[in-house]
Amino acid sequence: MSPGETYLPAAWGYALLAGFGVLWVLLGIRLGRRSKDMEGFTVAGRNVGLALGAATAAATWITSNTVMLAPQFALQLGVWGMLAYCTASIGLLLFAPLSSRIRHLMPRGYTSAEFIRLRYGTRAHLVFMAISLFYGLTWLVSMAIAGGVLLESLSGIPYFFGMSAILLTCVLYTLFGGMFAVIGTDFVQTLIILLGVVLVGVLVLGEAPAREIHGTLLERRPMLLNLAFPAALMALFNNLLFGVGEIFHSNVWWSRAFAFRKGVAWKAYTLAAFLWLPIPVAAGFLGLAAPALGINIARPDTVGPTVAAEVLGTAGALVIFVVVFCSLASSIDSLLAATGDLLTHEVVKPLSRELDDAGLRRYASLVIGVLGLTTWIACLPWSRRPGEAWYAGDPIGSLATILFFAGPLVGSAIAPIVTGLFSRRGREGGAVLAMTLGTGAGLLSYFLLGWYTAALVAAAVSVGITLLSLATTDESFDWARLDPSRVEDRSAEASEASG
Amino acid sequence: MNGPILPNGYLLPVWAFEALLYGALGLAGLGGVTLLVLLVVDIRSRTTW
Repeated sequence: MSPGETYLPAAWGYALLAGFGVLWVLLGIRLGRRSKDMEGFTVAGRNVGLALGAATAAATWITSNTVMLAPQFALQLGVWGMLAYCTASIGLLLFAPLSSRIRHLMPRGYTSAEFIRLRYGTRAHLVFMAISLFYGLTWLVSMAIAGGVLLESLSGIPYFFGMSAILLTCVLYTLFGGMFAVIGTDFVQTLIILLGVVLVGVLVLGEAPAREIHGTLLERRPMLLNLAFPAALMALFNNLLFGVGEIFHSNVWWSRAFAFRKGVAWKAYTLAAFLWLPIPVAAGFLGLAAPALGINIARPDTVGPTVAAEVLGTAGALVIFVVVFCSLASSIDSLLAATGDLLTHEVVKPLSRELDDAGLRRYASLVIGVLGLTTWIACLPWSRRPGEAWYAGDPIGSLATILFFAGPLVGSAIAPIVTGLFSRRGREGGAVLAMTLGTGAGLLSYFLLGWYTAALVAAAVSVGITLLSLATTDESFDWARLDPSRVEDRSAEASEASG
Repeated sequence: MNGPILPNGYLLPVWAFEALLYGALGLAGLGGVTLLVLLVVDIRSRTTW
C-alpha cells in the first residue's frame, strides 16, 4: 500500500462515524434518564448488577491503546510483548478484593481522592490529585489522538475531524447521561469489541495459520519467539506494575466500585479480568503475522490495523474501524465521567458549599464539558505543518511513550492505597514521601534507563518508604472516618448525650 | 538472519504458539457469550441496575 492510500473509502468512514456517533448519543441520553440526582449521575444509583458491571470494567480497560499497542509490542518484543500486555488484567484481578473493601469502608463514597483525603489528609490529597489529574488527562489525550490518527490512516478522515468527532460524541452522551449512560453503552461496546476481535483473528488465521506464522518467525525473526528476551521480560514486570498502579489509584475504577450493587464488585472485577485477558493476544498476534504475510510495516504503532486491512481488505478495515471506535468510546466516556467526578467532588464542592444536589449536578455536567474542551485543545495538531502526518515532529514520540510517561506516577500510588485500605497504621508524611519520591525515582529511571523500568522503580521506592512509615508509627486509624455519615451520626449522638 | 542464533530450547514451540493464539480467540468468544447469559439472568431477576 502506497503512502497516502487508505484501507477504507472515506465515505464509509464518515458514514460509520456518523452512524455510531448518533447511536451512542441517543442510547446514552435514553439510559441517562435514570440520572435524576447526583448519586444517579455519578455512581448510577449504587445498584449496578454483575453483567453490566463486568462489561463496563472490561470495556474501559480495552482501550484503543490495547488494540494498537499489543500488536506493536508483539512486533517489537515478540511473544513476551503480547504476554506482557496480558499482565494488565492482573490489575483488574487484584482490584477485585480492594473494590469490595472500598465498598464496605465507604458505602457513600464518590472518588478515590476522597479516600486519600479522609485517610491521610490534605497534603497527601494534593499530591494524589496531581497524579490522578495528570494520568487522567494523559490517558484521555492519548486516546483522542489515537482515534484521530487511526481514523486518518484507515479511512482518510482528516485527523482533526476524526479526533473532534469521537471526543464530541463521548462528551455529549456522558454529559447528558452520566454513569448510567457510560455503563449502558459500555455493555454494547464490549460485545462489539469481543465479536470484532474474534472475527478479525479467525479470518487472519484463515489466511496465515498459526503454524505458518510460527515457521516464518523461526526462519526470519527468531528473537520474537525467544522466551529469554531481556527487554521483553523487563516490560512484563513493568506492565504488571503499571497496570496495577493505573487501576488501584484511578477514580475510573473506584467510581465503579461505588456504583456496583453490594456484593457485586468483587465478582464483576474478577470476571472483567478474564474477559480482558485474551484481548492482547487475540489482537496482538497481528503484529507477529506481519512478517509471515510479507507486510512491510512503516509505523509500528498501527501494525494491527494495517495487517487486518491488508489481509481482509475493506471488510477488515471496516471491522477494525468499528472495534477501535468502540474501544475509544468505552474508555473516553469512563475517563470523562470519573475525572469529572473527581473535579466536581474534590474541587467544585469544597469551593461552593452552599450548592444543593441539583446545583452540583449542573456543575458536574459543566465540568465534563470543560474537560472535553481541554482535551480537544491538547489534541490539536499544534506541531503539524500542512500535508504533514500528525506524528511527525511530535516532541514526545509514539503513543507508547506518551502512555508510559504516566507509569512512574501511578506506580508510586500503589503502596499508600493498599496499606491505607487494609492497615490502620501509616501516616500522611509517609504517603506523601512515597508518592513524591517514588515518582521522582521512576521519572529518573524513565529517562536514564528506559520506559520499561519506570513504573517498576517508582513502585519499589514507594513500597520501601511506605513500609518504613508503617514500621515507625503506632498510629491507629479509625475506619469510621472514611464514612462521613457515620462520623455525623456519632457527633449527633455525642451532642445529644451532652445536651 | 540477523542476531545471535539461539538454541531451540529458548524458542516457543509451535504447539504452544498455536495453543496461545487459538486459546485467546476461544476465550474472547466465550467471554462474549458469558456476558449475554449474565445479562439475561440479571434481567430475569430484576438486578440489572
